[in-house]
Amino acid sequence: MSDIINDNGVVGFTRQITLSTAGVTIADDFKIDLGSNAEFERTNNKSKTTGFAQAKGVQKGTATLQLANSSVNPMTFWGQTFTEVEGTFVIIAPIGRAETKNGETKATVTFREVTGSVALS
Amino acid sequence: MPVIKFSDIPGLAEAIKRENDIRDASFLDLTTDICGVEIRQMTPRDWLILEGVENPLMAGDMPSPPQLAQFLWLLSPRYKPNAPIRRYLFGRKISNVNYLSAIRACWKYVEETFQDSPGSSGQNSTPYAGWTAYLVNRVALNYGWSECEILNIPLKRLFQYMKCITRHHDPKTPVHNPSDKVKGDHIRLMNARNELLKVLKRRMN
Repeated sequence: MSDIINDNGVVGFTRQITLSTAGVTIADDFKIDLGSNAEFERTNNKSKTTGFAQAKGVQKGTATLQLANSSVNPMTFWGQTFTEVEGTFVIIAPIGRAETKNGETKATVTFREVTGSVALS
Repeated sequence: MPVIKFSDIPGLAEAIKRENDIRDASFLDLTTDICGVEIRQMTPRDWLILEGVENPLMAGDMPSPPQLAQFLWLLSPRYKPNAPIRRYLFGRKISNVNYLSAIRACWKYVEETFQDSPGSSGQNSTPYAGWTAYLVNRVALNYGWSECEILNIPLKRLFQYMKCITRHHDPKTPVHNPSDKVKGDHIRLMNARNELLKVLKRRMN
């Protein structure tokens, strides 16, 4: 087994993402989890399984976004979409509180994979 | 661009290395050289005194020569309360220090001390106790250290412990690094560039 070498070439779990409206932002602690697959079973009158269907789980994740400037309200990020190698995602509630230091503001967001169309209201 | 590499953002690798070096060095009890004058790391107790006497260096303002001397004396490893001879000798020693260079070095020292201090949520809440009480309470609850121990731990270490405690209890809480400034400048540059490209495309059409 070869050694694991950290050449300090990559910033761990940090990504640059482009939001549909807010533009380029940096996402720290970018994590995506695949939700549990939904399974449906068909049974006969003796409760014996005679068939089943499974639907793939939806990818959901969280990240801490660094805002372009401290006057941006992180609530405006709700409903914005972005595309990564894993798929297209939409930012959903809850959007965590924003914290500012030295003029830089960060807020935690939760997002989920886009399936079908995104409807905002 | 899925994962950011250090090389993608100019200056980011250097900024991260610098902040990590400062963090690691804080555990080695090293002194800082201010134009030939040695000072030790600032503790919450020192912070309380310097804030109490409203030393301008704590707010990044210009101090008078006596205020600069007061700052250096309090943080000197040779400091002893109620020791007028020792204080007089220290004052003579620092009388030849370059005033402006020393102030710049002190500002840098204060900035590095507070590099890992918590950010602000912008939500004003009514304080029911002093900031030091909140600090002692949080660390004591998690690590079981005594009040005296906590007040004598360098702030650089305490702020790192506070971050660890915060992330332990709530991994989604945003935390800040000094290198965020480099990333923030990169975001603003990228967005300005994209806006400019949009304008140019509109004009070409």
